[in-house]
Amino acid sequence: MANDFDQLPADLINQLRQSAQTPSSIPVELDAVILHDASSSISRRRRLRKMILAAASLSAAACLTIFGTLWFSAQSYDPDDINHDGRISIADAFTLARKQAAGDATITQQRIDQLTLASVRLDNSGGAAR
Amino acid sequence: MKRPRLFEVVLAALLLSLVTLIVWHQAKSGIEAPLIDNAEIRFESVDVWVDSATQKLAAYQFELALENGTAEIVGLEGGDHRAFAEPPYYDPAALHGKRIIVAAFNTGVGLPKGKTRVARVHMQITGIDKPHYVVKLMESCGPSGEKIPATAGVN
Repeated sequence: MANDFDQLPADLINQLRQSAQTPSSIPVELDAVILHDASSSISRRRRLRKMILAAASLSAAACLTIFGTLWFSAQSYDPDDINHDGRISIADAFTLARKQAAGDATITQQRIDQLTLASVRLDNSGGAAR
Repeated sequence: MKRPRLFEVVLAALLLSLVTLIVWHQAKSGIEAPLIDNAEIRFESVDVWVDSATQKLAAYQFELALENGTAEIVGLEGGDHRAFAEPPYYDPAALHGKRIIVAAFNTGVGLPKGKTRVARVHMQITGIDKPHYVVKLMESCGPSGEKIPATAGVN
């Protein structure tokens, strides 16, 4: 290759060298404008990315809070709601009575009676959830 | 002895009839007056049944309410089947009211299937209007405590 290049005419070589040179004089103002535009664009993108990240973080935190609250409230049953169906009824007393009949000595007859009476109380309309 | 004349006999008979009429009328009005009052108050019983179809019924809870008419609950007794023959649970505050929640359970093995009378509610009715009752089944459970489909009604 070097040999081929050396065989070119000297004028042509000079012309080729001149045409390949980078323009040496870019106006300072134009350079500043280009730099400023580039910097602004990058800054906008960074701000947008930060805003999206912040919004996503807030949403995730809100979702976690809501789901956590719902889960916690779902887990915190009324102590009388033995079968965890969200209401006090004879089914709860029956659940305890079955356990007692199966030999669970921790369940007293008084507790069963208390639940039974709670289920038939007049203010327990519709077996509504408490 | 002087024989009574016909006039005296007729007069005596008339007097006797009059006295009898007066006494009978007095007695009748004395008896009928309270009867009229009592006729406004009568008693009837309402049989509540639960139909669990092919499944065994181990526990139930229903609400019985008087929809129209003037009546009040005065008593309660158990049902036909021995599993629910004992008087069920209820709130004593419901007595002399128009609404009651009744419940019972049985942990034994001899449990009814199909349509069975689970309770009888005694009502005191005032007036001549026929009361209309509405029963709402709130719970029906099988022997393992599981909820089972069932219907309820009154006879």
